[in-house]
Amino acid sequence: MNKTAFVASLILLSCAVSFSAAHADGHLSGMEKGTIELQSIGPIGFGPEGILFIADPKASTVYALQTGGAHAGSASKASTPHTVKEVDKKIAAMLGVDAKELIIHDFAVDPMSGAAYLSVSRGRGPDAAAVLIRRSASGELAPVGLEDVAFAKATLWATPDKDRRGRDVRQDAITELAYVDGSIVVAGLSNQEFSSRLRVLDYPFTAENRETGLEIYHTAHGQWETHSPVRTFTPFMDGKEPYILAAHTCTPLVRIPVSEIVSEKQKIIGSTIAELGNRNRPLDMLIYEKDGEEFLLITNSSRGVMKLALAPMPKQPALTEEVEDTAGADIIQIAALDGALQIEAWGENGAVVLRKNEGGTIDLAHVALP
Amino acid sequence: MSRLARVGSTVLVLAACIGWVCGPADAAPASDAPSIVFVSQDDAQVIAIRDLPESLLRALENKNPSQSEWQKLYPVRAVPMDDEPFDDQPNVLGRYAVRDGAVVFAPTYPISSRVVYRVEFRPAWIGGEGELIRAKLILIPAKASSPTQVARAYPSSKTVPANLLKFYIEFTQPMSRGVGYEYVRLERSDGSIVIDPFPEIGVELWDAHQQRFTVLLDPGRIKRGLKINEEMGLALVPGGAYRLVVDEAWPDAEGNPLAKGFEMAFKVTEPDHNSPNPETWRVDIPKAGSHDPLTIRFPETMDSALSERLIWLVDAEANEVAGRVTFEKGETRWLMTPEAAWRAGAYVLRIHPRLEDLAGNQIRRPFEIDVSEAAVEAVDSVVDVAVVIR
Repeated sequence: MNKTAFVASLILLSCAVSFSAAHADGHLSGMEKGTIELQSIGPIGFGPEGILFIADPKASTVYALQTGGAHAGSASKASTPHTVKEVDKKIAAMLGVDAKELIIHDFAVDPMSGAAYLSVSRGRGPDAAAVLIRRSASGELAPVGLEDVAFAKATLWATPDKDRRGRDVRQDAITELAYVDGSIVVAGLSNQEFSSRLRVLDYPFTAENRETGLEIYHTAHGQWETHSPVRTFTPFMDGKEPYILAAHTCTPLVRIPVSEIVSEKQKIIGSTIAELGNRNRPLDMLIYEKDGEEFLLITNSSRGVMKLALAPMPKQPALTEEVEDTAGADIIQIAALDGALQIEAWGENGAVVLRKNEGGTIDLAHVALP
Repeated sequence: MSRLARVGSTVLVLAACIGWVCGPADAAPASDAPSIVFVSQDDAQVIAIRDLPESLLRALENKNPSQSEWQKLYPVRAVPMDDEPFDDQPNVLGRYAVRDGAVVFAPTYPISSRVVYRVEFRPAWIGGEGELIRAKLILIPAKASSPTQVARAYPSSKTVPANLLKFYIEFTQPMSRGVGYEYVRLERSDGSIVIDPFPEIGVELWDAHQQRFTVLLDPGRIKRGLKINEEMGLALVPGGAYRLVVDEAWPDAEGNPLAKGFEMAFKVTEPDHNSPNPETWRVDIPKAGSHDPLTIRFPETMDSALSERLIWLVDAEANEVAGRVTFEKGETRWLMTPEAAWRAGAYVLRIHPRLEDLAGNQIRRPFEIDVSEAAVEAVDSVVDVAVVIR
């Protein structure tokens, strides 16, 4: 063939190749190689294909890090669960500080590789180094290098509250982050207004991150509607419908359909499914199935883990109707899990917990689900 | 400071100053006695073992140990003061190198002045000659830290409503994060302590410098109709007198306690369920050519942080006027002192609808809405107040 046709066919061929390459890893495309420079670190959570989402609250940014777990193979069924006594002391020792100077923010287990990740701050001052620690399935504990990694990022609440003339800006503490059905839901709590925002980001991140900055309210006795900060939430499926169960700084546990979160609504009323009572300070939640029934475990900052059955679910009530306090929810205290702060599923009937021990330090332990 | 002995004994070496190379001060070391010291390198502190035999240094360079070999040869562990290393304590993370005639350990994270570094060097690990040497190093910063204290707390008004939502505590320097709830309490005038007035929400609420701490009062106890309110009642009872107390033991970012504790006394009035209304505010307009503040007088105390951020002044070209905001009279006065003298003209005072009073009632909606009543007309956009300066 003549030269022009040859060149043309080469161009066509290379286009065809790059087109298919871009579509090869659905979730991993859109990532670039570079260095993640964390200003701070907070909640973390896994998405599909070994992607770890990391919140940097000071930078109002969420990172999506390719951890390579997808390629490590599914080791979690074969490997031993994570059991490390005084994991806080060990991490602090590696980072060269007293364990009292280490803050463990969050904990996540990669369902693909079985590796456990912890987000920590080395130090309690404003310039504390933010570190992501990994314990591999084979037991090696080390910081995760964030230089020359494949990642993507998105900015949260990049709107009028920021930066007018360098004056003090609203600083949101991020309390929870989770991947739910193609979106990342992030809960933040303002240090000024008594409000929290539930931000939803599409994942893969799009050029215009759809930020549904909605407010969550809850009702009590069908009468008082107030703004209600979400402290922690967990996704779950009711049949084919995705929901989140959210626990607040005030006590009721509410459920919210994800379809409402991603709609254009500015305001959502969560429907109360349980009143958790006094002194409850929820930290983390886990939904699991046992003997065909679904249960929820809630860990608490003041000791004690609660278990409640999720079925039957109450129907969404009209605002003016009475909401029963304990609709379908018998709350059982699980003494065996006392001290658990964070909990992640592990294997068929187990979980790995981050737990405060008698000496006041923190263990990683494997427990059976009650 | 003691002389560095050679064989096997543990010696407290020295407290080093940043930027200096230090050695035992009171004796010239024997020329073949190695020393373990802090050294400043590339703007960071590293640990260096100096005066090792040349042959050993060359053997190390030739061998080029792996990281795990280095960690056996030259372990460095960080131990809190008055503590011993625990079983299987991992080494401090860092990189090893032979550099400038010394064997250097550069930690991944900066040397902390709050731990003791237990360093050992075991030439036998690579078949080198020389005995095991050990040292304990502590870094003392050259600059002594100045004491931190509470600068002020808000609201500073003599009375607050029973459904007060938060306090702000401002410190003179950055503080330690994650321990705050142990050091703040509410006391009644008789000295008794209010139980659990502040919900432990797990994350602390600080500004970016960790100098302003936001303490939320438990909204569950405030909100009507919630179980916890019915069972435990209001933390602040109308008619009562209370103190917000900050314990001096609260460590600052350097780990030092406050220079002194702090108390703020106040009385409690009935709960406030009304949204603030800018129509009830008065504005004192300064004269053109002056630097006098523009003052807003509120009929009630407003939230300080939000008033600072959510009220602003723009000129006729919609440019924000540069200036400094201060408060007076228990945050019932908002004063904006301009950077440049006022120019005559039309201005607009802009008020964001999310501005709150002490009970969390926003301009656009009160904190609690009774949905059994008629729908509240919400003000959802910025409120503009025209101001003319002559």
